[in-house]
Amino acid sequence: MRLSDLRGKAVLLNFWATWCGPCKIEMPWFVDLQKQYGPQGLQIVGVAMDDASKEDIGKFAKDMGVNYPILIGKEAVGEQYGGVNALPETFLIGRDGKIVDKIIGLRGKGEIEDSIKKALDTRPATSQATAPEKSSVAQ
Amino acid sequence: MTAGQLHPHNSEARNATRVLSMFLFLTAASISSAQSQSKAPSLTMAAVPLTTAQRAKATMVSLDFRVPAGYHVNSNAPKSEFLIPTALKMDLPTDIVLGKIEYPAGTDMSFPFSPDEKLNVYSGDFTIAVAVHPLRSVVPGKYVMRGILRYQACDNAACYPPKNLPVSFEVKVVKEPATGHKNPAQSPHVHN
Repeated sequence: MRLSDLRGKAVLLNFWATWCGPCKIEMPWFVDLQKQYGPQGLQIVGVAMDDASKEDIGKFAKDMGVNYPILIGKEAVGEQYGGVNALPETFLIGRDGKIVDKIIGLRGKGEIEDSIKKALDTRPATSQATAPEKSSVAQ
Repeated sequence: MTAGQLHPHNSEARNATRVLSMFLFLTAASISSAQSQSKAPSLTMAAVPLTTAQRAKATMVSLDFRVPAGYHVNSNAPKSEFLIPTALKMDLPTDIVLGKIEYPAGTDMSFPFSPDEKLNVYSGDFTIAVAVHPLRSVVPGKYVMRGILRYQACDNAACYPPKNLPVSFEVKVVKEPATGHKNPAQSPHVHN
């Protein structure tokens, strides 16, 4: 997966941890939603805010049947962004790269699905507008 | 910023570290604004009365903690290897030995986020008892015992990163009773 692969996609960015009970409830939903909406342009990305080892996180994700990429974000990473204080936290990013919704804590699957639809309904940014971002992030 | 990436089932996503950078960059402002809406709960510890501890003997000290209303923390023996237990770690002065730490039994509870699973938790008030054992070499006087209570709290819909609560209490060490005096003479009568 490259940055350019996600340009024009709707993204669900989910912060979670192995010690977070509510996060475990959402993960099977995300598996289903990735299958259902992936062909329409959804990419789910998980960020494990966890001190567990990479192996433990990988085992956990495998046991949960996760079918989307999991990135490891240590507590220090969250602190750089003001600290991710509550998990799960989920951000829906539209095809234009803008946040269309954020969900803190466990909500219903239907509510998450509605937010996904909102993100999918957005239009990709024009190539003119995205050009500077591409060059700065890709470096 | 460092970030690793795992992808259990899809090898095409191996190089997504940049993606994390991008998303964290994009979402930084929103995440920061979201933080102010969700404050992590903090446990509190009641003041501990001065405890007198005799040298060469273990003395139990009770530490009373309170979990804010609406939250729970895992007990010392949670039911999943991934859950973070509530645990006390003490760092005592030289020659004051830490004895047993007695944790209360947690309560088995189920929550809306996991109705079919029972978690073993503490909520409301709970007490952890610590045995302190001053050795004979300790000079009598007051000593401060320090430690850390590590816990991880959740409410009915969200969980909060593990936190450390500083713990301290004072112990007055006193001499053991004088020894070496002879036993009184045995009475000559015979027990049947």
